Amino acid sequence: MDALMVLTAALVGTALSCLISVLPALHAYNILGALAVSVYWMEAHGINLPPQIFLPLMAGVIVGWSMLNTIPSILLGAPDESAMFTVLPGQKYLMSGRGFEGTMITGVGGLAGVFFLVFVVGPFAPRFLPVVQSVLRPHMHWILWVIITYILMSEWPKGGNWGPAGLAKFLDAWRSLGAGLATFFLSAFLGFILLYRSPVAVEMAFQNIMPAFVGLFAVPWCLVNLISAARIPPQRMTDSLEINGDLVLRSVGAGGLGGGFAAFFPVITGGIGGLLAGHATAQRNEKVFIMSQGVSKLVYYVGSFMLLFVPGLGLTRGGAAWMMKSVYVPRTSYDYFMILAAIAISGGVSFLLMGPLTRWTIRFIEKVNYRNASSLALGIILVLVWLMTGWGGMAVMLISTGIGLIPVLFGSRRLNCLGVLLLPIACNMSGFGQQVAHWLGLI
Amino acid sequence: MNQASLPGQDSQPQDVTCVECGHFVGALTRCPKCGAPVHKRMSLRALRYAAVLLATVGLGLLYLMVTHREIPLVKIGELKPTMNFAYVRIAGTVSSDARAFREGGKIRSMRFMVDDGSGEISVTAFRAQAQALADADKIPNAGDRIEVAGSLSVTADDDVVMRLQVPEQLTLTRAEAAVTPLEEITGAMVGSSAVIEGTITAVSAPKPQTKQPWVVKISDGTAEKEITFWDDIYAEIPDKVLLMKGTPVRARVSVKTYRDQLQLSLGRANDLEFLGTKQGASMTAGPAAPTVKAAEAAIADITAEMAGQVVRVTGRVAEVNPPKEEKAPHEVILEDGGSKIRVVYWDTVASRLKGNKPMVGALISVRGMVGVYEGQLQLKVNHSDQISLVDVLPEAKAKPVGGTAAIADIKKSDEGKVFTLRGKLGEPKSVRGGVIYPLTEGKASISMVLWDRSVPGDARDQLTSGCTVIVSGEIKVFKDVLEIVPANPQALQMVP
Amino acid sequence: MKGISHFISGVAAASFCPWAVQAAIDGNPLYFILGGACGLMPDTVDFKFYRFFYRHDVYVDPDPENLDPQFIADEIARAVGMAQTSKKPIRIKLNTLRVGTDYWQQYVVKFDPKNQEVLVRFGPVVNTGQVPVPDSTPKEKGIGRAKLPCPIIQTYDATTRVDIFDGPTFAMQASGQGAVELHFLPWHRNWSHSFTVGAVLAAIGWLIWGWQAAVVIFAGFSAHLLEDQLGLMGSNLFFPITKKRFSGLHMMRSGDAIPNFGAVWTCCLLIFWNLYRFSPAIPYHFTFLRLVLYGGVIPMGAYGLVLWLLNRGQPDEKESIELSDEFGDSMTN
Repeated sequence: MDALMVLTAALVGTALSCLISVLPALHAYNILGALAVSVYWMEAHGINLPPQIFLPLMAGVIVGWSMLNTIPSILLGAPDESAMFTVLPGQKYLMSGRGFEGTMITGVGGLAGVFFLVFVVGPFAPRFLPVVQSVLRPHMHWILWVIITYILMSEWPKGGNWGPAGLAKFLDAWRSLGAGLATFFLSAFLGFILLYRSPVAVEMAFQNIMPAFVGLFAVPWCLVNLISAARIPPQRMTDSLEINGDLVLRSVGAGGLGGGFAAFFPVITGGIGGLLAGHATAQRNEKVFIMSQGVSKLVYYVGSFMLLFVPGLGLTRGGAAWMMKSVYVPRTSYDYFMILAAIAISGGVSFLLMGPLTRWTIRFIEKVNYRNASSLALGIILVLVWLMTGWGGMAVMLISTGIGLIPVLFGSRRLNCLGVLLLPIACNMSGFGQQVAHWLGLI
Repeated sequence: MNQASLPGQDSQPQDVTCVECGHFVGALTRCPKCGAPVHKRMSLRALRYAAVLLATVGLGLLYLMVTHREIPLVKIGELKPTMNFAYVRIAGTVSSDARAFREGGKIRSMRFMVDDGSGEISVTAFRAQAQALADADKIPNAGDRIEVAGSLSVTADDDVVMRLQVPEQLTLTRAEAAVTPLEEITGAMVGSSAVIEGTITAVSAPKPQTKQPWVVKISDGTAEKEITFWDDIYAEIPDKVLLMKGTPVRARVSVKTYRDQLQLSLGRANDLEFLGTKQGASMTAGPAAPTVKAAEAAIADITAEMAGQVVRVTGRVAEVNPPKEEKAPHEVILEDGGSKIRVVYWDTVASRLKGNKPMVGALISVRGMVGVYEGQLQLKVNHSDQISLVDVLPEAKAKPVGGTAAIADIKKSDEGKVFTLRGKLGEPKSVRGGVIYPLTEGKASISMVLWDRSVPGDARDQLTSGCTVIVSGEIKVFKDVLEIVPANPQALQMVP
Repeated sequence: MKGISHFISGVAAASFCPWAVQAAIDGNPLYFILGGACGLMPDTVDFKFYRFFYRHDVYVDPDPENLDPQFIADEIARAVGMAQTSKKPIRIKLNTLRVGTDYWQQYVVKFDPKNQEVLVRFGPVVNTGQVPVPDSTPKEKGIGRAKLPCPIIQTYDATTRVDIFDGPTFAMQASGQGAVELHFLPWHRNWSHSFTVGAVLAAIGWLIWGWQAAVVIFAGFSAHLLEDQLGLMGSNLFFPITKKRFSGLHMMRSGDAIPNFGAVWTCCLLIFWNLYRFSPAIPYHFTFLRLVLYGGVIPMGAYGLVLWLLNRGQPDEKESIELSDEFGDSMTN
């Protein structure tokens, strides 16, 4: 009976993830937040859902979204090179008419990530991760600081490549770097405000950071799509992805490392983990790069959720785990194996759904202008933010949008937007966050 | 190869290339090759300006808005799981005394409960915040009115905790607690706090190198009970010299049991208050206590009528007698100018004297309370810093002791003798290897020579022109000028 | 090596200092930040500051609309001649050709000392990952060939690809024996990659934070310098006492994946070990050998074994890509 409940709940979660995944800019955490609120409401009204239902359901949503969200992120948006300084790898495939191939390669990466989590991390995590955690626990703060330092130092100037030597060339180069630093510190300042004096209603404080993330990442994506003057070229459906085991293994190596690092360390997101792993593994093959992005994304989102269940570890990482912890705290190996099963089921099913959903989306974008899809997505986001966090959240979202547009329009890394969490939490972990907030006049 | 034939390039708008030279410019607003401006469409330009405005001006306005807004006040009973991470204020009554967890002499964390009538919440402060509360005497007691702001943490076990971020955001209004007669303190009160008043009937210090607590018996006429506290609390009690039989006190204690016996436990030094003694307001006790002047007296001037007064005397140690029995005090006989007085102190003082340990022949300064015991005058010392060594005479190089004298009485014939003088310091004069202060008493003056090797610079730091000192040293004559030369820093003492 | 390798090496160097670990346990991240930052500092100075002020004498700016390899070859030969006649160092910058946000027209420059000439050929359009766009090589442009006025002495690769971001610089200096010495990227790994500069930074760190910070700064900085000696270029280690860059050990190239990852992973293990041995009261106990076994040998061995099993009998695709960039026989035919 338990097994049937787990299977059903995982499938329902995966199906739910299909709905949210095809809409660009919607995040699994938005839906999980709504789910958590529903569970609280049910409990308040005497309806107690057993963990065999809501745990696999949540796992299904996260796994499915991690896998299927690749579809809109690659297919629903044409990079306008007159507006943007960087073209993302998946977008390169789209603009070459190979969007289907790029999406499916990323999906293969996601599936490989599921294998990695269930068959490699799963058996060994309870044995090794507690050891790693016990050594690293008092050092998390400086690891965060060191990562911040690397993120800021490793951004390379995009300009300054032409013209005679001198101040003009230097300033031309530092324009993009300056935009990067400005993005980081502006978002960090916003992060301090949200941590200590959030304008979001206290009743929804657990979603304090949601409007900021929506504004920093999702809304700029929609807006840039809306003003884009580029067209999506016709897409070719291929029967073969021309990948082999070597490519998959190398992708799992790079993506597993990046996603795993991000899942284990607090505050570090998949994007940062991917950056670090990408630099460390120095992969040049484009297919490996794209596939590893799929691995990294899945390992990060699902792995961080899974860490809460590892016996003897109980790490709370990622928004999903934080939301889930306020509803249920897993304690036993039963919970652990249940979640591994849910991940495996959902991973397999969502990969099987990738092909049909990708084809469907390609047919969709051939008929419907991607700008209209982005408008719809933007509308949904605005409504969701307003419903969850009110006008305070809307204000935060608006300002975050401004910050999030800077890297896109001025040629710096979008990763710098993560200053919203990185700097305030690094300060808190080192013990002087309150002092900084005091200096800023926030407390 | 022309750009249009590159994958995806034919889907790009025209403004990716410079109209002047045809070079690829992408998102740039000026061609890097020929320098010509690149016109961008209005929507893109508007988005760029909007981004900069929102990110700067918008953020500034948001900052102003939130900093001019009150931290929301919430009712504890209305706290929901969705309020996790919220930064809020609560106002209510402290429902239990704060529990402080210490490590290495510092407070590591502190926890107390607050009830606002709609519910109860646990408030926690860690490390620096907890220590700051203790330093500011803001540790909440049961019954105190409190308003506190902090961040909420809600877990699945329905455990709602508030974490204090800034000590200044905790406002306490101390409760006026009614005094509980001692006879009414029974087992039913175990776990709660009470305010008691009474007179000390006995004080028992812990034996050295044991973990016994201090035990103070008090009586209020209805009953007699014992208050216990540990050495670290004792160390922080101001005016601890008043901690003796007969002193009226008020104390806030926790009612506990120990080996089936009721125990009144003093949690903090500030919870013990000495009542109604004038001297109590001006007592010095312990290094952290505020310094107050004790009357300077000669041994010969001390009489039984001065019982209860605190005085300071200086004299030579004539005898040092260890305790005769288990709870008896140490005894030192001080002599000055032919008069003697008995100085008594217990093991807790003796074990902490270290460099001030009285030795026969040493000149020491003692601050203590005058008392009479078994018909004999004595000075009672309650803390190790009430005894300080002024001068030590090494046995091997015993110098003739001239004793205490007035500066006017010192003559050249006293050269080689050791005297103890008192006077006011004049302006110092640096000499090679030291410094010379004129020491004046009335119209008489002598040079006090402080050599670097005997009284190093850091021992002289507190000396200032105009301050009064007692100095013990050998009398010398140099170029027909009388000098007194102390042999070590202990031979020089400032008089408050 | 890549930036992350240098950075993590600096962090690893800091982890060997017990005071750094103790300070970290007490909540002070300073020493680790300094270690990492100084590990990356030499390249930061070069690539983010110095190169924008490095003056050039000749700028080669090919026209993307009119790809002419002969023009490039002639300009390079002219620069060599200028160096020979003026006896002063002549710096020539070969600019890149951007043809899209993600596309760059590649060209290849080869110095042939034996025949005393320089050859230039346009290659394919590549993306920012240096992956060629299929069928994008403009074969009809042929090879540009220019005779050099004097013999040349190579200090780096014979062949230089010019494709992404900032193009390379060559410094040409008359050697005194009638030849001209070629130095690749002369502004890189010069004064900024010397122990002297490391010592100066350490001295500044001492003044601000104390001797412990100075040790960490110097260790991180030196780790970078020592790693750079493994490559082709080396650096000018004792500037200003030494004037030229020492040649490297030629054991690797800066972008090679395996040495870079090896360095990063080894540093991670060393950091973990140092954190373990300098931290009090950890409930788990293991030896360094055990850490190396479980953290390095077993996972890397398993990965390598699976990779080998998957690649058995497969042609090496990586080599074919690199060979296609070589002139080989096609240049002389």
